[in-house]
Amino acid sequence: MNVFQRCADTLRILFKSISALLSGRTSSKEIWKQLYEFGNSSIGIVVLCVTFMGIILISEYSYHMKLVIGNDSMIPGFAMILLIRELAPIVGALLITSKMGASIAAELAAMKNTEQIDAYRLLGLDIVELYVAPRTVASALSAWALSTISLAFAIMGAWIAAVVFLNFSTGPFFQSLFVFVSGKDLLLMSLKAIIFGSCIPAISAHYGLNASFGAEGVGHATTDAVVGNSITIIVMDFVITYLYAVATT
Amino acid sequence: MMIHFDDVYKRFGLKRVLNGLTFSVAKGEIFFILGRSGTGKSVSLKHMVGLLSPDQGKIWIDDEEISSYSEEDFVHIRKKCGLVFQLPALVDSRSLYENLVMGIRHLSTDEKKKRISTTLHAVGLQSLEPVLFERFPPSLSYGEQKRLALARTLLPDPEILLYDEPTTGLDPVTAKHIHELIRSISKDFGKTSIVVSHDMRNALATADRLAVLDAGRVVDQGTPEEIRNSRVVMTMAFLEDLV
Amino acid sequence: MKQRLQHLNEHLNFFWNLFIRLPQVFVEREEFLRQFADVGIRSLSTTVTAGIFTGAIMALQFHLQLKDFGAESVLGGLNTSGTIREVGPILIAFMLAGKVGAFTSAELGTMKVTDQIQAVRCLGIDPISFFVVPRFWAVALNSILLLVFGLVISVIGGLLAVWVSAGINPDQYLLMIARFTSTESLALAISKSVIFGLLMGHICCANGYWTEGGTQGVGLAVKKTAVQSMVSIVLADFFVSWIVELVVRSGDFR
Repeated sequence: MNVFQRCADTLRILFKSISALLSGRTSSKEIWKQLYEFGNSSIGIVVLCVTFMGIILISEYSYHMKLVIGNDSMIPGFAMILLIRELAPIVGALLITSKMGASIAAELAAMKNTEQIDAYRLLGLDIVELYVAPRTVASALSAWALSTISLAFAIMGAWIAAVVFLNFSTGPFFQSLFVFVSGKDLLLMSLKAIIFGSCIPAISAHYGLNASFGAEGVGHATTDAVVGNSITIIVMDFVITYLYAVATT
Repeated sequence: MMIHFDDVYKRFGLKRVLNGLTFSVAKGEIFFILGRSGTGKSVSLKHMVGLLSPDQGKIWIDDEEISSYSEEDFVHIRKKCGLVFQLPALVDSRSLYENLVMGIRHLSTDEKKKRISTTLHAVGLQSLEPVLFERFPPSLSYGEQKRLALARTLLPDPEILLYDEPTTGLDPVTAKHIHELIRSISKDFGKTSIVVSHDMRNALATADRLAVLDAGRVVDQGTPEEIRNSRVVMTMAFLEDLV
Repeated sequence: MKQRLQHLNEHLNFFWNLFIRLPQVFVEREEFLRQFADVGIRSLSTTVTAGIFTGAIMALQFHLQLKDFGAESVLGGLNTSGTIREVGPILIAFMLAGKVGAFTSAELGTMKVTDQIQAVRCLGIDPISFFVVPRFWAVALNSILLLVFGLVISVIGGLLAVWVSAGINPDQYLLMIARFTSTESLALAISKSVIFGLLMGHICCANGYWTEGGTQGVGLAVKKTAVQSMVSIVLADFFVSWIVELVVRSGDFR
């Protein structure tokens, strides 16, 4: 399968899921269940990673600002912008990919191997509508929720780091934050999170449903799903960032 | 007695797999262990080569009691005792030659060549001899892979051969051939063989003695003749298929 | 809690085993070289992609921020320094964790569940020396080299991105790199690459080797590798930065 065929198949799965969701053919019970699964499984690691990144960023920016202009009063704002616009959505999406994306690919590959997918088809049920569609919604919403929640924790972590280690006081910290961070940034983050999130199940499903036989097939499908998702996320992020940069210049 | 299991118990979590397993195999004998899936047949073989160790009980191989042996202690046991796995378990990323010589790396190249030639003939794969270096396991059929795995186990010349479900998943004709092979290898080369199987028909034709396992212990033992006339429930269930 | 400590202990033991068996690499020379070449070739495109896009994204963002501030001129230096110190190693490592790490644990996992590892043990060969050690070192060394390579590529990616989108002068950009990238930053970038490489090698080999539960186990091993790699990378990044910071500060005169 070449790249174009893969993209085509993935888009087919994505569109099928979306149409199933819009025409109400998806069980809302299943959506809630998946929402819980996605959110619950990843919240710990996403909060952990994004918070640490927040702390790292604030130290880094402090170092660089002092280097360039000898003054670091503006770093909270700058550091958090990078976190909001880039790192929170990317890291969140990549972690969801590792956890849930891999699971989706593995499960569908196993189902393919045991002929469950064909069995469903004979009963008039389509696996994409049954399995992928609810997860698409769940993934999109979880990605958004997780980015937002982990961002809150990251800001708190950065605040503590700034106050304890970098000689900041609370007032100026949050002042700098409010000066530089605007609603636009949060909107960008949410948009990215939702877009990344909705692609993960479709991409993982593509690899899972096209898996070859046996343990090796499952292994490859799972691996390729993680890789495919990672690359897609970073490329999409670049495109969105580029458009944003061009639009605001 | 070459091999002796004495009241062996083994649990996996809450599941009792071996429940007081006791049996003996004499030198040079072909011994079949039959039973339904999950009754501990493969597990008992794995104990003999130290892939598992018993919770309770003793296991003798040739006057050595191995139940508390360490990985190092098992090195010389594994030279004596070769296990043919249910899945061929050939290393896919290495050539056929590299797979075959795994157990005989310490021998000279000439010695290796000689042994490989003889062994491939014994298992009926002499046609592969010229292409051992170029071909890899995935290019062989399932039956060929199983034979090659057998050859690999035979090359270090172990006195005892253990077969874990050698014909599961093979068609009846190939299965019969494999059983004939087991018999000829055992008798021609003087090996002791223990075969785990659920193929009663071939077992009766090949074995010197058989044991039937149920729930982790032996419920019936004897020569093929004795088993054929047995009144034990599990044995009769296995015999039902054969008319 | 006790279980977690036990698990950690197993991991440390496993890593130590792999580490001190480096000489095995020379014994199993062919296998190691084969693995090394394999891993390298497979990951090259991923590294280049990750590098270019990471560099580009960071450059675009830094450009937007510095523009508000009127300090566009220092873009080259600041962006490069920031990228190679922090975000670059992390994001590129994330990509590699998927491509190389997940792949290797799937490979080892498949070998485990098809009894290849047990079969080799029965033939008197130590499966760790035979299968795992060459792979570990192939993955670790490759990752280290690829990370450094990826960081270099990210500089190019950054340059291209802002040149094309905002017409930033490439010469000015490159000049600033030389001015603002300290040796400390380079040391940080390289030490992170080393640590991340070793971590990824260990995690994928451990999860692959410890796979259990048939076909499903393989999928689970891949998942664990991906998740554990990413989390460890972030945590390791934090600690390495912190330690290097302390070491530098002890001789610092700010």
